[in-house]
Amino acid sequence: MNDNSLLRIEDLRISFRTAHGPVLAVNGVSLSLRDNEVLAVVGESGSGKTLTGLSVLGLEPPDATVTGRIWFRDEELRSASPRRLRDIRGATIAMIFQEPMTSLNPSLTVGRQVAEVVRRHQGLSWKDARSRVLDLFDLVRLPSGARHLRSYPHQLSGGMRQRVMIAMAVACDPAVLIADEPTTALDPTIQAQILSLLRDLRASLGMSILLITHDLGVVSRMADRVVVMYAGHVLEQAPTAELLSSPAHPYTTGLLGAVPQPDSNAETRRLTPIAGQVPLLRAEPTTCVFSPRCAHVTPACLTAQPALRQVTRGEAHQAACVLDRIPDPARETAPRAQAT
Amino acid sequence: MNGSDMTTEPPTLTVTGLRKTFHLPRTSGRGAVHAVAGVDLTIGRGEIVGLVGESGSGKTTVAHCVLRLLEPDVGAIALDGTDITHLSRRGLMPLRPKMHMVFQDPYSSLNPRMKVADIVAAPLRAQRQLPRRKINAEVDEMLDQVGLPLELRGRYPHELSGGQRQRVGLARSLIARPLLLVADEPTSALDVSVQAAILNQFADLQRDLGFSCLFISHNLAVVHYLCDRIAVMQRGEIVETGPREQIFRSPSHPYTRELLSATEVSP
Repeated sequence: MNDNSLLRIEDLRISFRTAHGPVLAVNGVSLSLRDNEVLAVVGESGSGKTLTGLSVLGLEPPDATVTGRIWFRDEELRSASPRRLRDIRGATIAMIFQEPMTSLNPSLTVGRQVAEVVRRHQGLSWKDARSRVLDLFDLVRLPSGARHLRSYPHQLSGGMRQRVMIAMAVACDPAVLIADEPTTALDPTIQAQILSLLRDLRASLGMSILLITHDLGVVSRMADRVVVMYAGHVLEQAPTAELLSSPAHPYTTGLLGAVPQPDSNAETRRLTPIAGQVPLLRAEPTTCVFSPRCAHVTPACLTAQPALRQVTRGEAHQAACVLDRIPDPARETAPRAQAT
Repeated sequence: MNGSDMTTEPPTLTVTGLRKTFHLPRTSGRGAVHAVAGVDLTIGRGEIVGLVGESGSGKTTVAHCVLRLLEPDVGAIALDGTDITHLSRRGLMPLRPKMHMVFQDPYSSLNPRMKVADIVAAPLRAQRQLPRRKINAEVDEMLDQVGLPLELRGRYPHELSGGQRQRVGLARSLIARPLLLVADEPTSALDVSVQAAILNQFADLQRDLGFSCLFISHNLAVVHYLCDRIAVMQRGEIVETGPREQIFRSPSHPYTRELLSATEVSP
């Protein structure tokens, strides 16, 4: 395929039929994950980010209607046979989830569950699998790993369970790791440890990571590039540092302004919330999907959902907004903060 | 609010030597958990104190003991100068309106079979002192203060968004004008753009109504935004406490430093 993309999603659309009519959860998402890259997909609940990740491995809910193409190297995954997908899942593309307690089988020891992965994909005997599991526990820095071969998930802490999940995911040296909110359920200190583990594994194993998260703090520490999703659409994508320092879409600006910053001036500080709610898309949008919550709406915003276009400076920076420059939010919110 | 009159009036909340141990069933093989192992905490008039620490550090147990939802094993709790540690249920009744709680999960902490107006009115009805007309007027005023449109009075919780539900929870907790509000992770279940609106609202309400608050969170950025003082808990003990800026600029306990380095946001 073109450029150096490892995983490429083209015009992905996922919809559901509900009693109240159709819901377009993902509506024309295209993105590409490059070799040895951490790409963050950022969005709030309902943005479609999790479904995008799940559909790569054909794990979307059975009542979902999916169209579009997903290329892994030269292979199209949406048309792959179930058997082929089973070989890919956990071997070349692996996934970890938010809540490790619900993703592990509570009635099997964690040693057995990790062993199952290497037995299934690499055909090892139980004996060889056992020593491979010990190596993996070492790799993910599970403290006193040998003791935990026979532990059940409920006997481990949240951080340890996530390490076990990561051990299962990297067991077959995958090319791509899809990590869906891997640290959201964890305490801040454990979260930092798991992120640094993922960073190290990515470097030592040479994986690419598709990191799905709502947390811009996690993005700033992990990602090389960011895709911002909202209501099933990609609104902006850019290298991480550039997105955080000069966001080009009002939604991204809004997200950044809504997060409290410990280093901000304590007396004048005021968060700038985004009014309203993430909408549920029921039909093809006839306006910009963000326009109901946007402070800078122009007539052009109300004619169609803008396509992604190049932002003036950065060559890899694209935004789906008709504005060339977002009016300075600081000037605008200052009088309001005093009035309230 | 926390100005010169603090010297004459007692602090809103004084906790001294609080201990709480949970005895686990013998089958667990773990014996007892010392959830709170000697906590001292004071909250002045109109002060917001942040209680931070990892899960299992005892934050919520402290909160529940303060409200007498749990019985402390050892220690004393004084609300507005009155020792409430050993008051009976009946003895506690007149003091209940002075303290209230906002819960973490706005989905499970509202009765799904009650309408918004009834949920918010519940604390006033429980006092059995106000006539219905007065209660209705108070509910309308409170809904307005937390930024909820009055059309939502007759709605049920499932018809509301997460942010709206948490505003209902906030309205319910403040309608009886408590001296002390205990907020247990009130925004952690919300999306960031919604969380920002609730935090602003909370800061405004505190400024207007002047209540004191024990604000429990594991999000240091949120605590920094709202709180005057911060207490850091680890394994059932408060390992460090101080004014916000001191905790953030010159933390003295290693655990506080670890927490801070784990929550840096900027790249």
